[in-house]
Amino acid sequence: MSQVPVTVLTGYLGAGKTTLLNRILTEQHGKRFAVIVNEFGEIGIDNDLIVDTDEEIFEMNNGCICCTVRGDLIRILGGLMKRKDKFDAILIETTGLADPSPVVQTFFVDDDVKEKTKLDSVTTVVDAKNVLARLKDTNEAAEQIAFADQIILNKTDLVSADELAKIERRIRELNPLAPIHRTERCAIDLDKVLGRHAFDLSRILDLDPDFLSADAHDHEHNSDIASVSLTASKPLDGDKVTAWLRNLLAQKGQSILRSKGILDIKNREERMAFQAVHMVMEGDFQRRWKDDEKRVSRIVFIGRGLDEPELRHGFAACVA
Amino acid sequence: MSEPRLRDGRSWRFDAPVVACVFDGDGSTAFALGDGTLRIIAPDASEPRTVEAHNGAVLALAFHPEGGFISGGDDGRLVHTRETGDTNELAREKGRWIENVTASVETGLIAYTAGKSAVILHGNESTTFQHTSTAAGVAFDPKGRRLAVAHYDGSSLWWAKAADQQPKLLKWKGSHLGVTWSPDGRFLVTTMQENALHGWRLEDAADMRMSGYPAKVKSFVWDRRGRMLFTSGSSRVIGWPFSGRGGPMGREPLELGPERDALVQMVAAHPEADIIAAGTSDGAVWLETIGDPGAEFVLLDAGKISTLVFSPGGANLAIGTEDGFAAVAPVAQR
Repeated sequence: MSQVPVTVLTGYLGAGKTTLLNRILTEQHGKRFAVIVNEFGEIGIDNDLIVDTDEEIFEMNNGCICCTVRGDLIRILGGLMKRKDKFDAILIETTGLADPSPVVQTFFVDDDVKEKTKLDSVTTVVDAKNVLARLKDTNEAAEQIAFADQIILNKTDLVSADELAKIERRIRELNPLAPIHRTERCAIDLDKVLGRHAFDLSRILDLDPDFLSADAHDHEHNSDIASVSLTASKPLDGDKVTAWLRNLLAQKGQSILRSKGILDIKNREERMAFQAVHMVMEGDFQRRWKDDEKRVSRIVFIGRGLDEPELRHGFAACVA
Repeated sequence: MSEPRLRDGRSWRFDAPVVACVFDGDGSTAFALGDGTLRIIAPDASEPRTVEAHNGAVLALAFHPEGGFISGGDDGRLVHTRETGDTNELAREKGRWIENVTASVETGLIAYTAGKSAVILHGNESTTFQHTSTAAGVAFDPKGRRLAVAHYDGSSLWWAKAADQQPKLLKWKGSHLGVTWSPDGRFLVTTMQENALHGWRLEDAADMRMSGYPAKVKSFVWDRRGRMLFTSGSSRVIGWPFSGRGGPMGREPLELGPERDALVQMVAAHPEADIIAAGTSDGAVWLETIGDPGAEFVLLDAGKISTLVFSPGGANLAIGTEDGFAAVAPVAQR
């Protein structure tokens, strides 16, 4: 049975999530969506289904201290899967102040949810006019950007080109991987928002080492969320790097929000890909390295208070 | 997809998942479906009667103490359907789903959940009990006078007919989903979000943790004597002994049935014989006598079993699957 793709929409209050949802739901696309919202706002309904819910965040007693899930989502997704009419996609809107981790972790922790649905992306709507101020006076705005697989930078008409460039630089510091789509009133092609396969290991975006090394380290801001990018041109010891990642995420997973990597393992012709949300990691050997492909291992960590020298040192010790 | 192989009995193919199945006292069987219908099969009829009970999916089904069936749906309605196909709306919860329904033969009370509320219906009146998190499961005690509600961080026990009361709170960290009372009323057991059951001995609220499952436990059933609780959640059926004062504490669970690659999804207990039925994730249904190993397969390759229940006398076993296959199979005397 095919899994229904799920897109999680985050974004600070007033960023434009509801506008985006309305666009998605009212566009002529012939698709059928289920939308899970927290505040039953002015959302247009046609043949789609809207489910109103209260976020219920549960701790899992599975020895993973930061492992929280959305109990309400487990129930609702289970209920939706009982329906005769299947959905082409499910959209989950989180509240403006929400930390995205529980909703994302739900898709990796619950077996029933994993069997029937598949997280497609965390899409964060950012309000160009107010984002810099929100990054200064809240933690959630930075977390939502850091968690994103793609960012819809909205209300770009309300700021100058210089301001826009500055905002994008700031977003890049928090999240060097997520593509940024500039929009006005959330006008964007549906195809750009949905079907990202951001959590599909076989399609983990090809982390570009040149782009990553150009990553500016500009610490003038008071948010402590940042990213660290690591590369190694020599093959890694598979056991060592797996053990290192496991330990690192077990110990520091609370402060490491997202990590992704493509690894060149000694004596293996296939690339190893992994991704993690806090402590919940999945990884596997994927396709073979192509003949014309540079065999380089690349990892990106996005988190709070990351110790870059320690990460660099730990990674370097994994070289075979 | 391979065709289901039913050893004996009547079967139907519906175009929506079978969510639940219930026999009523008169021998009619109702299958509740994800298209909002009940398909009611009279004892001697070959074709089901289709009743459009809900606009959406049916989420829960129980027998009605006065005959017929009660269903809850994602349209927020609680509906009484008689064997004749007549329907009557018992309750409506705007914008919410009715995910659990149960009834007591002893007192004739009906209970359902909608969001954080559990509601008891008695005649035309209703009493609502509020919780701080979703009411994930409900069960009446064997006398039908108390209602247990499973929720986050434990369970609440309410007196069915008392106004202005505080519930007795049984605490245990975590998300509690399904709930059942032991037939002697001494124990309360919940299924959890983790791969475990939790139990309380009610005389002193002593905790009992039943873990070690490879998967979430979705189904549990007491044997006809009320001494063992049989559960899904593993490749075999797991049975916990509740006969002594300490229940399963310090005792090994019983394992029943063949060791297979698939997980047991649903369990059912024969009401008049020591027979347990199990339905699996790969669409098999087997029967085994407690204490007499050797499973008898009733069904193979039908898709994930979503509901499994014996008829009141145990002569039939009703089966439903996520793929929309449904069957009523005769159970041979042993």
